[in-house]
Amino acid sequence: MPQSETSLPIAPGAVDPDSAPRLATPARLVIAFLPALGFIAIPFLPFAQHATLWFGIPAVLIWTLLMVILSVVALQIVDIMYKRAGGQEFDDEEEGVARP
Amino acid sequence: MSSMTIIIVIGLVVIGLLGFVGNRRAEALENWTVGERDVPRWTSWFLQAGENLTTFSFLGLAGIAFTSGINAVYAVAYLTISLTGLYFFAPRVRRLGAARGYLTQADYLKDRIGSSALAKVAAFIGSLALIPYLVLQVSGLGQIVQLATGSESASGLSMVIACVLVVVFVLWAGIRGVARVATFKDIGMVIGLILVTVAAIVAFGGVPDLFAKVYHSAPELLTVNNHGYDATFFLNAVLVTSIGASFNSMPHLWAPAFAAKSGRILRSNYKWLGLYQVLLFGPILVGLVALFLVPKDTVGNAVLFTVSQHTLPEWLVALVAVFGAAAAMVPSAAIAMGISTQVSRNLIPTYSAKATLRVNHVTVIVVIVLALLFSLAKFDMGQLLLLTYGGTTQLVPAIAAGLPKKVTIGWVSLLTGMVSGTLLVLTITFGPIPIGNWDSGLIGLGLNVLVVAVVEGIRRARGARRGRGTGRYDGEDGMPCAAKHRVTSSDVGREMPTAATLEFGTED
Repeated sequence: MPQSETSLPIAPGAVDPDSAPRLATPARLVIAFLPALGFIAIPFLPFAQHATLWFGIPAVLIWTLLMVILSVVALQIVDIMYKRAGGQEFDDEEEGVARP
Repeated sequence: MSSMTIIIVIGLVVIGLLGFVGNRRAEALENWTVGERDVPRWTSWFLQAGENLTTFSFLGLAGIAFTSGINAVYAVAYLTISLTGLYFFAPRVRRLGAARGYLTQADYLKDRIGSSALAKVAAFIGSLALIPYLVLQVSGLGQIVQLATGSESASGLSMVIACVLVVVFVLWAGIRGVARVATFKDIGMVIGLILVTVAAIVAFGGVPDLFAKVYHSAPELLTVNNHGYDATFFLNAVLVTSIGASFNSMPHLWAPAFAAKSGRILRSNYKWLGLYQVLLFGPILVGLVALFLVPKDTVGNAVLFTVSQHTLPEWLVALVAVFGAAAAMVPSAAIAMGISTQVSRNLIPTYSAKATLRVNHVTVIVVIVLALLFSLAKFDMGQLLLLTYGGTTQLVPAIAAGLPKKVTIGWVSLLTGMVSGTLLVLTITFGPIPIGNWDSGLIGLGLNVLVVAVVEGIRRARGARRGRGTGRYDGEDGMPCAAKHRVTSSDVGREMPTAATLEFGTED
């Protein structure tokens, strides 16, 4: 039996936490956090420096709403990528394993 | 007692009963803290959404919009970014917690970093830092009731009733009680925010008219540079809160992650919870409507309810106040649980599971009573709240270091960084040292990371000279951390100890 590298062994029946496919790959992190750049950029955007209305609504509000929607979309994409990379099988295994 | 006060008191009792009735008593700390680690999707949704809809949504956000316009979107920004961070973070810690029996943030740190000292310091900082946040929730509840009823005595009565009910359902049902009340609270908050927003907009005459009037009468409120708010404030607020929340720096937020049935449930919820943030545009709109409906000297926190009193019938204002009270009771319960679990499991030594549970329950009562007393005394928590955010942010490097499969940063480096950052936050807060719109937590985090890098560099250089390893195998006593519980080939065929029977004590 291999030596454990952590202080506590895995409880009987529990899934080895290190056997999961990697969720936070560089590509997925970039996709997921792109909208965050849009949020952080707000103070520097020209329409945030001067009062600006787009279709009668403050431009900053529209931009913020767009970034919220993009964040949700980005995470949907990341989740699909993860599932295709083996995450689906691991999820099924994790939910099918008897609770310790 | 006015009819509004009666409605609010009845509402508080209903909320308390929700947390109590139908839940069997939790008789072991693990069951009390994380249930059976099988919280299903929708219950997990309401627990995860908890931090997104709080008294800040009712009181603070409208006030910020009233005083500085669309700067208030910084809250939408940091909450959305936090959800993205938690999408990656929460499933990993859930998995680690289920495999190794973690109940608290300090359990995770102790096992992953391999240091009891670091875990204890983190538990102390985290627990202490949460107390002002708990006071904020209780006093927020009192403010909501006072604003809705206009009565200070109703405010005091409500705070006392709410605190008693929180103690009862938390002690009886633990996380199950909190989960049920969280469900009511989130549904109520959605209804309440929609009601208040729609009423304000209808009373004003429509959204396009509102923005046109703001554009012509106070255009600076449609920019992010006005009234003391600027790019420095925006970036600091968004960055420090996003970083802290993404790594669950506040200890009371770990139990919901540990309790979820699977990582898929957590990921599934976090990838949709961003849409919840759209609700926060409601209080922002109400704050802008308030520019034309309420006196200009109205205190920020009073804006939303003052507008509601102009636009809604009394009984609806009382109902909104009940939902606002729920928004205070749920975080209060979760915070009390977070503090008490860390105190009983990680700070105060006990020698049996029953004693641990007793210490846990006494701590719940003590912290709730403390928060109630501070709130009734209207103790100014302003500076201490800076410690909540700034102090818990200093736990982030250690939390982050524990995530990879192999932990390679030494506990000495992380502990030194944590203490350095916390001391700097304390110095800035109580010096006080003027830092303009910079955030003390972010400055402390900068020092924290720098100290970790320097100490780790020294540690590795010394280790290389002595021919020793550079990872977590350098335990507190100089022996490899894994040596105490290493699983070896000689263990094959033996009954393996469970995580619960190892370092964290035995179960009766």
